[in-house]
Amino acid sequence: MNTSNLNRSHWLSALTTRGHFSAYMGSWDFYCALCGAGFAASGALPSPEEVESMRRAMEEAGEVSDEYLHADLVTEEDIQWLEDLRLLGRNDHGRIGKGCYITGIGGAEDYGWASADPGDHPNIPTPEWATENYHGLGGKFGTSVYWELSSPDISTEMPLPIHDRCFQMLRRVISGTENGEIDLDALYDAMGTMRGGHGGPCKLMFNNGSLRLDYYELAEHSLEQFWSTVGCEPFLMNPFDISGLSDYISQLPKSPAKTAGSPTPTSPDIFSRLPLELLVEIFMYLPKSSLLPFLLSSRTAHGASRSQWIWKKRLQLDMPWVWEFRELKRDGEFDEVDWHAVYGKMSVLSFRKVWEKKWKGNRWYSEDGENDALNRRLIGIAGRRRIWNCCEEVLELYRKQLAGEGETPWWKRY
Amino acid sequence: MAAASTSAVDPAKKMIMLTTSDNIDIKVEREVAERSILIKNLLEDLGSEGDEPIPIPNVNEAVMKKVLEWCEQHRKDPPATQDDDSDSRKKSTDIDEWDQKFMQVDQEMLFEIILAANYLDIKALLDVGCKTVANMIKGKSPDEIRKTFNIQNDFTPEEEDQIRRENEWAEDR
Repeated sequence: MNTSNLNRSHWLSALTTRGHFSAYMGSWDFYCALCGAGFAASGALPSPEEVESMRRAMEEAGEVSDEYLHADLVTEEDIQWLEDLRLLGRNDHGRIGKGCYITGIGGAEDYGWASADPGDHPNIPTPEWATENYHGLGGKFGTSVYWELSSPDISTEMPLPIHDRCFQMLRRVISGTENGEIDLDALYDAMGTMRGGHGGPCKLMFNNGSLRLDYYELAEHSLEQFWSTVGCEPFLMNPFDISGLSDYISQLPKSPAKTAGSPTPTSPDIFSRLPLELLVEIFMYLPKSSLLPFLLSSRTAHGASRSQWIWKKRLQLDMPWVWEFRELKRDGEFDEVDWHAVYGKMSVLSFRKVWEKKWKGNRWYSEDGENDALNRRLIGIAGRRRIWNCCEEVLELYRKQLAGEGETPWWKRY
Repeated sequence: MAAASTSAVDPAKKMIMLTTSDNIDIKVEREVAERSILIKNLLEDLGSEGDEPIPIPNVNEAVMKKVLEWCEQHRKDPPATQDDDSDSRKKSTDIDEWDQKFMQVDQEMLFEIILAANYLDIKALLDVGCKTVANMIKGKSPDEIRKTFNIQNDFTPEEEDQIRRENEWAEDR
């Protein structure tokens, strides 16, 4: 029996009669297969009054609550993107390829159910073939995406729920461009090899949409019920529309006036034999972690690092997720920019370790009070980096599928 | 005439002469020498049969021989592709086995090869050279790098501090 042949009420009653209802408090959370975050924005951002009363109630009970997002950092608008999902699935009656499809935009509903605009992909199950998927949904395509994997009568080949924004990010990671093509058949099988549940090494006894990928900072979240807690803010903000980024780009730091030539090396080292352009070549081959040791090892190397061009290139190399810098017009307008400073700032904002350090004690990257507000509108960069990393994991699996080297998705082995 | 054409030498196999900076003439097959875009262009510009020796004033005999050894090994490699977008992708520092062995030379020679590859415009050899140096730096502390390349530490503690401060992000993953 395929779950897509069950309509929602059948499915609901099937679950409730099996007694699962109480175990999950009436709702089965499921997660984005790509990024591991949930699909609910509401409730994550209580009003200050609610936070206060929650805090007081917890205090009386002798506990601490941090299961909400910090309203100083996040607005409703910032987390709204969590609610838009698409479904990546396979249709036995599909018209092209192996029948894989991606729906239009939809959203999560209770009890592990998702519904979406069917969209215009030729493989979308049509109402003629899949009446139950359209039953009572006003033209929307609906399906369950959550299931107990121990149920023997249930096929687990269910569509994968993916945030619309995450899918857009994946498109960039796979194709290198905003509107590039993705081979959905290869993608579906690539992600399919990582489905959780039986057959795989995952602990989960249910299919909640998440895969056996590293979800980085939210790795723990998709394993159980999802709580939006203090500290999660950068990772739940809209990863695409980072409000501070265009403001930052419009006022990039200018490089300091050239100091009157860096002092000549007291003892010329072997690197001083290479012209700057070759030192730059070597620089480009180093992993990020070797940059500072290299600068500290040789005055020549340090001198070469004064070249702003290196940092502009390294920014694209090491932090491809801030693609805005790649897409800047090349008309000399950015010649004066202090790319070393930009690189440093983007690096700090991209990785949580530093973010946390700055956040504790209420201190931000910049000590400059004026920039503080701007920095707060840039924290989403860490979230973007996280999702980009998840997409890169999928990219590797996807390439293997395209090259015919991928694993067989485990559910096809049965 | 038919008889002449059968005895004609394949132009790729035709020998040409290079004169190194230390005034040594080296004979080499044209196809091998043309791994160098500089030599290739020179030969085309001269338009001759390549009878005249070509002066290579920036490269001495020892280095030239080493470079030509590499060119011989790679004579059939496809021409370098103009990968305009490669800058945005992570650069791999993988080096194939033959090249790795080839690069096991003393540092003097390594740097000379890099400079020669740059001058002679042999992109693939330049890449191998830069990757080799990068691999010698990778994963090492500043002290270890200095030891590897025999560099004297002439930074004052203040300067070192300053560099660390300017690159605070370096602790990030």
